[in-house]
Amino acid sequence: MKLSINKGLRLKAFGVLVMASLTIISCKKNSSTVASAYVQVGQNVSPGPIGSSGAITSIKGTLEAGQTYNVNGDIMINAGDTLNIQPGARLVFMGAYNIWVKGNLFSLGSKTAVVTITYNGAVKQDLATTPVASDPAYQGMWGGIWCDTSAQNVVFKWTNITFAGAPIANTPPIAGASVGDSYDIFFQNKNGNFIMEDSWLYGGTDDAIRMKSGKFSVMRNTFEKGGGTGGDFLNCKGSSVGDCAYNLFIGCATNGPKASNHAQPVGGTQTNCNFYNNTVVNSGYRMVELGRGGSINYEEGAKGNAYNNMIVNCRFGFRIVGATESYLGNALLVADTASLRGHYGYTFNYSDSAAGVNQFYPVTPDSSAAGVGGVPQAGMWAYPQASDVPNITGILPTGFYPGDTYASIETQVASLQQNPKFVNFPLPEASTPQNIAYATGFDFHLSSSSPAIGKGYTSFSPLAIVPQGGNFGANETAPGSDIGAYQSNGSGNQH
Amino acid sequence: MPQKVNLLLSFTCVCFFLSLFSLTVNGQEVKGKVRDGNTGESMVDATVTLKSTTNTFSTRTGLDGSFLFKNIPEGSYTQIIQFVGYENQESRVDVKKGRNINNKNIELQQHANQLNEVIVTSASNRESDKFARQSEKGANYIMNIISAKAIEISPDLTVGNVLQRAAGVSVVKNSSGDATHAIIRGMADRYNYVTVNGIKIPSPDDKTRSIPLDIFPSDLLEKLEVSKSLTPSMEGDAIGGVTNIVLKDAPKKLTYSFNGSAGYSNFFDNHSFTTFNHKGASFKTPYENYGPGHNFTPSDFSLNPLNYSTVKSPVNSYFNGSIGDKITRKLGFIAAISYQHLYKGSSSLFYPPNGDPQPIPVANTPTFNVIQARTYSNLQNRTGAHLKLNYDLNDKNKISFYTAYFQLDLTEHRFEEEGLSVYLKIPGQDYNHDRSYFERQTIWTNSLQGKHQVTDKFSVDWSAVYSQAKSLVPIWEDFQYSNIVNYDANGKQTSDSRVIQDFPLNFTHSTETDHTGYLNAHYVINNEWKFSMGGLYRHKQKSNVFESYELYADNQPFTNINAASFSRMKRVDTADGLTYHATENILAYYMELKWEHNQWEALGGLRVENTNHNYFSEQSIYLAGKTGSYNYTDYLPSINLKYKFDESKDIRASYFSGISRPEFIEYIPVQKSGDYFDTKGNPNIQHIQSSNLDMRYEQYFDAEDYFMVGGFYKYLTNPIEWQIDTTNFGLNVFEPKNVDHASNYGLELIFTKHFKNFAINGNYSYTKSSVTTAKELYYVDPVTGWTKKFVTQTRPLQGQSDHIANLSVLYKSVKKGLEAQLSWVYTGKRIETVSNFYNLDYWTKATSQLDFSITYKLTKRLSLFGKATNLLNTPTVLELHNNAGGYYYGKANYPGQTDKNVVTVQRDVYNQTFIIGLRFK
Repeated sequence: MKLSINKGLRLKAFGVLVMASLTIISCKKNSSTVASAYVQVGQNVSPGPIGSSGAITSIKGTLEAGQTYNVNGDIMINAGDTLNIQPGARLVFMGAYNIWVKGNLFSLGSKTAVVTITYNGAVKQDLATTPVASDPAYQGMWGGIWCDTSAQNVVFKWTNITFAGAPIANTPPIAGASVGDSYDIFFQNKNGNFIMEDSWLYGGTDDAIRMKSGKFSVMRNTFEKGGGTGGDFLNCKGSSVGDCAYNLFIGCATNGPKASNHAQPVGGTQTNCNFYNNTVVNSGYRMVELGRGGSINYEEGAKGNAYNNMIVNCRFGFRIVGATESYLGNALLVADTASLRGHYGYTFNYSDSAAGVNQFYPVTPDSSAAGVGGVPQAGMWAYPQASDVPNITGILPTGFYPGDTYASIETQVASLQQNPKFVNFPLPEASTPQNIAYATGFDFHLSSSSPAIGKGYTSFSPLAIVPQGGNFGANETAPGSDIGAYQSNGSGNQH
Repeated sequence: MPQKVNLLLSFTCVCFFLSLFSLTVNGQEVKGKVRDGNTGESMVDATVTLKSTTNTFSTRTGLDGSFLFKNIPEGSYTQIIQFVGYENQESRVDVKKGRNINNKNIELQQHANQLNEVIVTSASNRESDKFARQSEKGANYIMNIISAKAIEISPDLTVGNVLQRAAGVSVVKNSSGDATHAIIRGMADRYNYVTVNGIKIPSPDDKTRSIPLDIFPSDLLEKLEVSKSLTPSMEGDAIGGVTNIVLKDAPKKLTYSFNGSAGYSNFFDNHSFTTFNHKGASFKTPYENYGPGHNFTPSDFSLNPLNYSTVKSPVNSYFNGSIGDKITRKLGFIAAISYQHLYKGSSSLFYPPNGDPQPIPVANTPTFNVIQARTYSNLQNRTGAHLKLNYDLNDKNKISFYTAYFQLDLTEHRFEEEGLSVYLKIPGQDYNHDRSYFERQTIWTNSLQGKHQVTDKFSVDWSAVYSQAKSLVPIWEDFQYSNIVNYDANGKQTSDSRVIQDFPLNFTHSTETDHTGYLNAHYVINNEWKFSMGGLYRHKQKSNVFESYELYADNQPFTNINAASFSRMKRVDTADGLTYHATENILAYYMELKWEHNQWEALGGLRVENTNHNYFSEQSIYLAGKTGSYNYTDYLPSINLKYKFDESKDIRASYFSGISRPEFIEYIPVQKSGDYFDTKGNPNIQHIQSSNLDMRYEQYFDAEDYFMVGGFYKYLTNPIEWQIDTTNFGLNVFEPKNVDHASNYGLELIFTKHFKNFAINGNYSYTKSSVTTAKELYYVDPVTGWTKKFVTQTRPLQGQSDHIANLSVLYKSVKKGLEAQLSWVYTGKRIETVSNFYNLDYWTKATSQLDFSITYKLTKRLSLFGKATNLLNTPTVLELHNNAGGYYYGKANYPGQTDKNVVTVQRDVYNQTFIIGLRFK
């Protein structure tokens, strides 16, 4: 017995030795190696071809005035680097390539020397008869301008951007976006500045500008043909703060500007958007879903000020989602109505049709189901204001609640159709509203007899959250006294 | 590391002192232990006779196969051991004064000409309940066993469903009501592993290591073992437990059995079964088929799977057969096949959670997306086959080969009405989804094994294993159209207007391959000490591919799918992290000592596992983490102690260290942009470590009645929980993170009691775990307005039920040839999904399920059987214990809501399934 114990111990000791030696042989220290991000040092570029297919080329410096740069592959602006585009420079995409912005991008055109960012050989087909499926505007010919969370300043002045919107085809070199995403411009730095003024943005397949978060100033631009069968011109998500004013939005799939506090991050601020003095025309029709698609929209925890907007022949008028409904059709998520109360009005509404007149104050899509369970649907919350043109507050049926139909005033439709009297945009339209999604050939300035003149509200201030003034800052225009983007005193939209 | 060495040293000391106590000298006695020569398992109730010219002594072996004669006079004896169905074993025993005799290695060999029936009914039958109890009792660690006999008479058809009968085990069910994953002692899938015949098998899952337990037909089993503690020779990555699926072994004599049955689910009394033809679909992805540079157009894709046909009153069919024989003295085999062709259906109402709650009227008010009504038509073709060859070179050297193949083909149509206008017959807009999904999952494992008794005391065994698991999804088409409907006051539909939406076609496949070698050496030092050491090396490769293509519908109206035309498309989501390649090399070795002395048994030692993990992802090189490489070593000591008060009572205690490796996808940092948050892996994740304590008291009243009570405690370091991280990018990124610790403790109770023709067996377990994670709170701040912040919340681990109970009543009459069983399972509420928001976890409501089965013997070898499952039509209900949004019936007619304090998020209803069949053996 004793012997066997000794034997056992000896064996165990032997075992321990074997284990120990095995351990020494195999036991590398616990370690891990994770590949770090590859950075190609940004290069200055000369006029001519830039980038190469199948690679991402990091560039910085200046694209010179009046020169043409043919883009042959994805280009990137590294974190900390700056790319300046001088007036009159042309960036021509030769394929479905993207611009990835991790640093700063300043595209500084001028009224006389506009910067052009477009697709090689693409020609606009601005005809009422062009079907969506074959309109080059909705094909997404080149990718888009994708800003990473590190992009600090992205500024477009007097820049004409056309035919973007191709989906991301390969794993993107930035956070926050995936293969298949297709925006013309994507911004996501909640502490960064996005400025777009006096510019044009034409075409796309989804949102024209997706503000995932950020500080912005979007002033005096012309937006045409945004989104294919869905998408907003300016889609602001959680922690987007800024001013959007004096823009012409025409022919958007869903909305012009939309504000939402959707997915506000911890540490981010609540979405706060001022939408004022915008002109929104013929929007919301390519989004065929019930209750979606319209003009100007506040939802899901967003707040701000909305005044002096002109809404013409859109599928729905100004909308504030006033209650959360997840019952039928679309889920509706309530805006920050407590903050929006008393912060909207002076809206000019026009529609060619009686049905459109009845959607100046959008009717709950499933209103015919109102009363199910004994409770009216309460998704809509934009109360008609006495300051609106036309003012319908006096003729609403008793017990009217936003979202209700106001069909009882149909007899008065003619009197509610007040023509805003644009300089050159005959109303009623010659074609159905969804067919005209472009501004070429029209002039949305107000003629001197326009009922919109002098009806605006000016006693509020822009947020002016981005740096102001100078070459690189925003030049914001204060609220104007005429409703819409074009002021009779010549201020506002300069296009 | 020094700490671990100390542990080892102290363990050595403990063993040393324990062995000192064993030096006490007893009276003159003859004792021994009888085992089955083939299986090594204890033989219960064998007759042992000591015969001399003057005396005859007789006794019987106990449940552990041991026998003891006390006060045997000096002399020369013949020791005869007898057991029905086995050759008598005779040996000479000389009893000398003052010397005890202990022969622990008496082996009985099965009769060569033993009748088939006897094997089936003999007490040694390895598939019997009795044998299972003996094995539990004889095991060196905490274990529960479900025998083939128990499975045969149970209502269960897959391993997943069988497992829920084990103590402390609950199961997660899929949309057709089949149990797919086991939660052992409140520890979810990731904390457990699955073996087939003791060999770990690879996973077909695209993201995790999890093994779909519904792939294994239960008819192929000899037994199902659930081990809840580890020994050094077992792989160390189980913190909850190990499920070992033991397939039928080659018999000594010609044995065969067949059964066939048919069944029906009464779900189809009022639902039609819709299905589609999956033939001709390529198992390669379009990119693999067309190669790089191909410009995809919609015509590259077949929409045939969106053409549906109806099966009226679908009948399920089942077939199982096995045959085994000892062909020559050296060569034996068993071959078995199992085939199931099942139609399953379920319907559910689903309130999809909105990504964010709302801060009004109160913080984190739950918010939902559009309500969905779903109907599943689920066709399962389940095939399992295995072959085992035993070749005995001689008594000392045995070689075996086995191969097992499992395949589950799932053809699923899911119709989803999003919006409920049609469901409720009220005007509005629905989004209808017709999803056609075909998946083939396979697991194939092959092993060549040898056992060599080199000397009387020294033996070696080895295995060389090649296994592969695959999941192939060649069809995954999620067709969508919107439907604006109008109804008149009488609920009659007056119009509908259907418009096709852009919709995706997905293609994915996953392959995991293991090459493993095992080598173990055993040395019997003396009757009390046994020493083993050994190890394994495994090279694992995992590859996963995911592709998705979206067809633009351009607002075209929908009449039928063949009339639809698509001219434009885009490729989406190729890079959401699901395309990756990973390798994992494990080098593990151990040293184990086993000691038995009088009433004491101890088994313990140290295991070392070195893990080398590498991945290659589709991450852009411009972001960190395209590749990752990890190397870590764990020292895993364990000890199992057992003290036998007497042959029928014992107490056990064990300690083991375990680990849980991160899931493959958890490393992959490719960020998938989501609606409310982006999801990505975390290349800095670390593996989970744990310390586990167990105690169990067992009492056996006779061979089949027993009672066990036990408790456990687990402490986890670095548990992995998914949380929102905003530090990396200032975005909402949902990613796996290590949290400081989690703990888990509980109590288990198991019993069986026989009364004449009845037997009652049951178990109960109580589990309580807790982990603390950071969660978001969305609230209205008086200064900053609508704001989010992090708060911490302590909750149970995902999947842990506080109460789990099983109770079954068996009736058995040999005279009438009748056996019947009524089984009840209760699974307490548990967290199904952990929310990233405070107080918004989704819970599975407690379920109480009742199943029935019956067997009637028509002739000696032919019996008729029936099974009826889900008698109570128990739904699976997901709920949210927070109804601040006022989603309850009565406010706005929210369908499916009944409670002012709880939101019913999902409710799956499966109805009953009935089977009737014939068994021949």
